[in-house]
Amino acid sequence: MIEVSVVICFRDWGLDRLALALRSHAESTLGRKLEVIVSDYGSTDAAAVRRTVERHGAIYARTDVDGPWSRSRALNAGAALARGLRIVTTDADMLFTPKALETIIRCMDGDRHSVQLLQCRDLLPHYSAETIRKFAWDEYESNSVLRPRWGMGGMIAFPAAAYEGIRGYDERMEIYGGEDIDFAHRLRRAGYRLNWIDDPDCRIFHVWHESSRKGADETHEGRAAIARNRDIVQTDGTWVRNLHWKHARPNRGPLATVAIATHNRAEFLGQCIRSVLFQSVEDIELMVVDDGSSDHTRDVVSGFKDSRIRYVRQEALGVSTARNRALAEARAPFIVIQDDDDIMLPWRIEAHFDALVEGVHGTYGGWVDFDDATGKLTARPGREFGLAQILYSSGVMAHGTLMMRAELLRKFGYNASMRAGTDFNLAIRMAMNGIQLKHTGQFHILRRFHGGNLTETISDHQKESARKTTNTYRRRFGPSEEKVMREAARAVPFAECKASANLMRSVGAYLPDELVRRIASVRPQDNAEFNRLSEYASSHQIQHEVFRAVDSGGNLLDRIVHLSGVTLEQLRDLQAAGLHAEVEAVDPRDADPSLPVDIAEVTAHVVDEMTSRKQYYCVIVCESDSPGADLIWSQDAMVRRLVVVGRKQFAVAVRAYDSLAEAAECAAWAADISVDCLLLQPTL
Amino acid sequence: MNASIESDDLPDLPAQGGIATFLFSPRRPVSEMLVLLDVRAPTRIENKELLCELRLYAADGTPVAAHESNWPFSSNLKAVYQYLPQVEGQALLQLKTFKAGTTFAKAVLSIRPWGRRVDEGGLQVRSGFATERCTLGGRSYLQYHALERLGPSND
Repeated sequence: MIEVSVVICFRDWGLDRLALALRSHAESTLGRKLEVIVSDYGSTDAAAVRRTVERHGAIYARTDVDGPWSRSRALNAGAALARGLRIVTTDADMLFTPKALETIIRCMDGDRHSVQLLQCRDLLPHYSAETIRKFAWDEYESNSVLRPRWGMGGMIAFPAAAYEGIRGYDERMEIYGGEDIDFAHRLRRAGYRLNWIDDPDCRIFHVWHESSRKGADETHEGRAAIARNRDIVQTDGTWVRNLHWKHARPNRGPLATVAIATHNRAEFLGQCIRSVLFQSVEDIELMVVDDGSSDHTRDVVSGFKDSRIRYVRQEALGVSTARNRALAEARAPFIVIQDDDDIMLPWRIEAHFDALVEGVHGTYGGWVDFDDATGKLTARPGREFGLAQILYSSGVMAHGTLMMRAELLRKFGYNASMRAGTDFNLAIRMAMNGIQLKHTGQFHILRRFHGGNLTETISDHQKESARKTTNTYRRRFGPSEEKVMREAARAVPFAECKASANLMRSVGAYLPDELVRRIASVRPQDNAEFNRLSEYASSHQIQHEVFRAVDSGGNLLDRIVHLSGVTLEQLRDLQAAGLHAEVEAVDPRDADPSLPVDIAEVTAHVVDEMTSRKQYYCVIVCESDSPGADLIWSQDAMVRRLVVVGRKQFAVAVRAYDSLAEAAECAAWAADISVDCLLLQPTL
Repeated sequence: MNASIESDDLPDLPAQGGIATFLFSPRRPVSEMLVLLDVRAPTRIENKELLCELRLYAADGTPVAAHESNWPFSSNLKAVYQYLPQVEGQALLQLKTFKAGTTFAKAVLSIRPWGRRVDEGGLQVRSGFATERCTLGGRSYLQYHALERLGPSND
């Protein structure tokens, strides 16, 4: 059995240096319990690297890359092949003493929830790949300098399961710098202890060479990448990254289990399941526990041919028992609670992880009630989670918007003696025990009101349950404490949810098909994609319209296809085909193109692409058939897009600036040519 | 919120002619704005030798009382105001964020000397900006509006 997989990332750093590092691993006391993987991320001479790697008995993994070096992606590409229970990531210029890895394993076995770090020693300049012949470890000890702890040393060792749990190194990071620190911090946030090994048997030495950091610093792209990495380390407090993991491990477990307990809700369950499968994060499993349904629930579930769905049936034992069963069956480290008659909004799981930061046990969000007969929407943003609010206020959290660490949720469990109000009871117990839940600032679900809701059909019983639960816990506080808590609860405002200003626009498109007419907007990447899309639309009798921007020579500048009246099932087809669609409920302006369009609304279509590190943006907008459009298309800009709002087409360009004065000049230029310009500065 | 300041608290000098006057028309009525002025002063102008007075208007053009704001009110000027900091050479001056107790649809800003003679040659106000907060595509931004120049003075 492979005890440890050592992953070394590499690209044209010098084969003699790599060979030296591989020789040191070949001398490890672990022998065959060790595998070494060299992740070649775009070396020029792949064959030469492969020969060097294989000559030393290591595994060669090649990734063909056009773009820049990314230590993060290179390490992930290597770790994807790792078979060991533990993984060590390091570089091609690190020499490990023979007993180093054996010692590392011993440290890890002593604390299964630990991550091991080791400070390297920098060899003096006369110990380079050209001069070292035979390893002289004792000599190196006195001819090297222990590197100060400003980084993560030169090696990180961690359980493979931990690596999977946080989804590897952050693949946004390019060049290098900060990825080890970021990775180690994320492991710590996930609950692993960081331990610096201090054992004379365990040494790593850094072979001297010219600094390659200096090379990276000399290019604009290099400096920008290093600054961006620093930004991620300093500002991103999350620990689960790579929600769309490029270099994923092939047999990894799901990131989250969506738990649905259901009883005789076949009528709604199909829409519920479809909404789960339409999530932007695909790395999930869906656990459906059928609590003795007598309708065709089983058929509804089996009608979905998706390997991520698991179905278990039990005799009707009640919602609490069914939910506890779902918790027990879940395989992922996080559980997402979903009610069987609700619709999950497509960004929900992504929002959960984006808000999951240090000290937080789970995340939740707002919800939007919808009338199943009319489609009428009512926003319920929720409030900050806390004991005072839960006991003395309402509208804090809908249980069906929650995601939580699986092991914690299992510990609390649902009170099986209760027929109703079990979620409220759970919320109070969690609040009493100091559980920290964070609001994501987004709506998570469309909560269906259909007359058969549990909250309505057994409302008296539920109210009684809630009253009992509340009183049980309220009795623990004296009158003065109660007064303080009531005041505290009153002071907690409703949360602000993204895009709550126009609910129909933001979430209405995800109502059931019979309640909304929607338009999917697709920007094909190339002609092949455009043809696939056109064929799909024609074969499914979807009304589609192509909006094009062309230059004076008739060359295509940009193109958007509008698919009118698409169903949710068809949207899923597009997603499965890799066609990204933006979806909106039909706008009244589609019928009446004379209705005005606000420039801010046009700008909203490009804000996701305003990702520069500069402080100010000028968004220049004009109708695409006006004279200013040619100027927009011909000017330098970080983004140039055709945007369609209602039935109006706009040419949009975005420029980024470091100073307000420069941005103001751009705004003045826009005014001179009579086109609109928004001068924006992002705020937190 | 600062208490209103009466004219007795101002330097004992009459208001002089304005150097520049600007109009801010936010997309929808606001109660808060940040004002930035791109200025050039060939010779140094000290702190409190210039002030920016502000008058607010509703959408129909009727004046809006600005007494309940975090800028001091001068009954002499009959407007709220803010002193400009020391300036020498070219600078982008950022005034204290203005927060009113009520919303306004238009704001007229006049830059005036106070306490010494500063004419147009002594200070050029090249352009001005006011900001309002906005949310686009779920993200928060400060939107900068170039102020419309009404003239060197509104006198």
